[in-house]
Amino acid sequence: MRVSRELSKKLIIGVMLTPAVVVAVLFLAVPAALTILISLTELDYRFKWIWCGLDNYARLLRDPTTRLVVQATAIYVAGTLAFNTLWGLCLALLSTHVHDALGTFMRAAWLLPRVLPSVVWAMLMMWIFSPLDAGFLNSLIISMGGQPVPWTFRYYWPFLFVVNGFIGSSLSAIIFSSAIKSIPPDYIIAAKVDGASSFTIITRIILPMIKWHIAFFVAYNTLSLLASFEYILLTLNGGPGYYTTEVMILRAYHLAFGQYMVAMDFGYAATYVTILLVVGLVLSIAYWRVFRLRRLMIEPKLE
Amino acid sequence: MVKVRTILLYLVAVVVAAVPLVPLGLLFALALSEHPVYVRGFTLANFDFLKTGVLFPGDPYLSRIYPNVYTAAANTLLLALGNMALVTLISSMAGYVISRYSFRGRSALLGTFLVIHGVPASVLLVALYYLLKATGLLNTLLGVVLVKMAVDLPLGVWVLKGFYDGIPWDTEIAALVDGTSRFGAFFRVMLPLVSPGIFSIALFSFLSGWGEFIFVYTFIQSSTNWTLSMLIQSLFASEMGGINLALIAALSVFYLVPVLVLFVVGEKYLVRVTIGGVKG
Amino acid sequence: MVRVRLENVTKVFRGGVEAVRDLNLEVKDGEFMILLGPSGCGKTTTLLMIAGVYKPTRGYIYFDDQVVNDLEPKDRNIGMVFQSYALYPHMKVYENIAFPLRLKKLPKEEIDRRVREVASMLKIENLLDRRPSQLSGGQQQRVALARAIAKRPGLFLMDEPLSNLDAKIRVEIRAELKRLQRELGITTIYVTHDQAEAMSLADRIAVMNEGRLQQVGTPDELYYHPANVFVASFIGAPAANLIDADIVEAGGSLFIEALGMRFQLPSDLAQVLRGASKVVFMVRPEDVRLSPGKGFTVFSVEWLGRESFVHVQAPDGTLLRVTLPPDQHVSAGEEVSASFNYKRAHFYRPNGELIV
Repeated sequence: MRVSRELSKKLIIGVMLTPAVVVAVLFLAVPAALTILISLTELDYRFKWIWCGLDNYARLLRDPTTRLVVQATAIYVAGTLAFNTLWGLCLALLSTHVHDALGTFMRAAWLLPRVLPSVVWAMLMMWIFSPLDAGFLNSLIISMGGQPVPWTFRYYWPFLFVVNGFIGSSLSAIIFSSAIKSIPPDYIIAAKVDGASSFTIITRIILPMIKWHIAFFVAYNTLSLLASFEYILLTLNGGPGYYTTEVMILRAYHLAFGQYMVAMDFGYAATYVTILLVVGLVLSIAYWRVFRLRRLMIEPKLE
Repeated sequence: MVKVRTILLYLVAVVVAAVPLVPLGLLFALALSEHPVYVRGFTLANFDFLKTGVLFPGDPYLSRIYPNVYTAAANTLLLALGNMALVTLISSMAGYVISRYSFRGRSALLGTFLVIHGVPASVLLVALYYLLKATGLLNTLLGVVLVKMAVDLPLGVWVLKGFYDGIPWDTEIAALVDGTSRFGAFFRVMLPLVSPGIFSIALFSFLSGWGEFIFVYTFIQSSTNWTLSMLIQSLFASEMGGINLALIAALSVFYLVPVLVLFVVGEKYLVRVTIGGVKG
Repeated sequence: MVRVRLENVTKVFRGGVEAVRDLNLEVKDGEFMILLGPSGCGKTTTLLMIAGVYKPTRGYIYFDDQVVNDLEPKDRNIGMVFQSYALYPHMKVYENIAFPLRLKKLPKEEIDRRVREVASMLKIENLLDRRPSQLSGGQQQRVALARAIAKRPGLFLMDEPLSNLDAKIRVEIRAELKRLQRELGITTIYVTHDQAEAMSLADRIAVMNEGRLQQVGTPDELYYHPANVFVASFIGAPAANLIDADIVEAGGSLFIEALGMRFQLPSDLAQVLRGASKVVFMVRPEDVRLSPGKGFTVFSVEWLGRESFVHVQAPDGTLLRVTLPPDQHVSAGEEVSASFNYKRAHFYRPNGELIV
């Protein structure tokens, strides 16, 4: 039996592509649509679909905690983004200006927190910066005769920036250092011959030439920070105090899967999430256009 | 003569490189500490749980709440292996088709994967909970594996597509002329040539599954289905977090061993995946 | 050994790009046919259609009177050699050559015999255990050839196989290729953009431009009787002179008015060209004779040992290319007069068609 070429081609595409498409639709597209739908209901622990239109959104606007939550989100995203970008740049510049072996080792060392399971990293950070006397830093300070510092009670934002920043800056460091390494050395040599100092070379040549990479990282990191909450959950869990570090996605999580399982207010939680989802999709599509990612798609040659 | 500035630069570089390793070192120190809360002395007593997997042999109440360490470890392994197998299998096939075949909707599909990859999975937790409950997969490891796999898939497809793109067309045409069918060319020539990519994705998805926390925390209720990440978090959040940190540290070290080994072995590959996920 | 025939073959790609238009070509059994043309002319597309990698949008391809349009590459019994060699990097040389034989499910002893036979034919027996990355370009190309020969195909397809090699190796392998093809007698279709390579290797050449066939013929035919302006300009180095000219009649004789001068045409040519007005006059550098006189100034001289390559400037400023025999010497600035060997010259209409 001779299967025609067209048919066999369609068969191959079908068999090999379908699993990925099915998964994407079932577990990614469908839940996205579901989220929006749920936000229009009063779905909660009773698991009954009761439509309530835009009531949840109205409630969102009236709720006094909303302002706190949005504020926390803004601070979190801005601060962590700044840490990730700036420190990642420093790491990239530093690791490319020393011997390659040391540079690679440096980037590998900084990649480690990212690779570690989140619970371990969070636990470590909480222990080191614990405000109690038993916390690592405080025990050191006490043994040297000082007063214990209420690290996470008072300096909670810097704490969060450090915890998340160690994770995020490894990504930017890798991206930026690979970009720096791909700058044709001729530019640097020409500048050195012209007598430029290292600082000038960095500011006038290197940074402008990796502009695209920096912009790309800022864009994508903003997007992923908007909905990132795992480390906040594992460390401060929205505290200390009243919603001080409760970002939007964490608020949604607490509303839905609340600490005492009494909440389970899925409808209201979905409201927060829908907003984030829509913002995320809009931004992502915008990036697709701005960064002309269509260029990355070369048409295949075979038939 | 070597400039002072260069020496300073290298000194700074070494110190900076050491910074992220310090917390890790402290973890080991705590795990080996004689005191349950402070870093003091040296003992292997905290690792006694390795013998039977029971964390609190003297306390029947706690032993009922917390599962056996090896049960949790087995669950963690299942999650990691399941994620690795599914992601690698599906993305090696999908990446090939997207790279080598032209069909209607190709750019739309690829664009969709890219757009999805940009939005974090946390936004879908509420809807996924509902879906899993509705299909009876809530509180099962299978449900978690499926969700985890779905989240890691877009990255896998992108990275492997990049690897397939890097193989010259002539090589594939040569195989077709030599006598393979298109599927034969895929199996005998393309797959071996993208094996570094496959290895990278396998490594990445294994580690991703091994360290997974939030899906387990959200979807799993019975402690017999807990993974090591849940166990550690639950211990730390309870009073144990103040009473016996050293035990938790030792448990964490146990949890970390595969991660550290794989990291040392495959750091190069992990970097490739990281870059691949960004540059597409 | 296979006879290949292309009948009205056209290939249009997704997006409307017409790569090959109405191609009609016949390659005889055992012939060394070369597809020659500039990049983008459609020669590689044609080759890939013969290989079965692309399907013709219209038209038919025959192997020995059998239509093969729908036949998969693997069923066409062809051997292919690429510009990039396309060796499998993850296999040793032995395995690379054996690969097509294994796919045919030949017995192990037969595979081994053929691999060694073909390896000794191409003098690569000592490389069988190495990987492609450990070989030089010339060695890799030999392995690629071996792989193509080992399966005893009815047809060889080669896509610029020598373009990536150093000039010296290229000439060596070129000669070996010619000898091999003669010995094995396998029909060969070879693609190149290098006209010198085509002239030295081919039994016949098919010149293509912009998807269309310009002319098919032996190197001799193409050189001495180019069918249009494109072929005339593409074949031969240094390139032929192509001069825009007017035909004028004066005093009963016909003259070419070009380059700011007038040249009388011999009567047999005059008969054919009477009635034409604008033409393109083609004359090869070796068919221009210089003698002391007036009309042209020598612009530059390059002495190449066995000949001199000279540019002379006409009164209207145009430069003519002339090659002189080794014993004739001119110097820059000298005034000379030029005459043409009309027996070897050609005239074309302004649209490129041949008149005579």
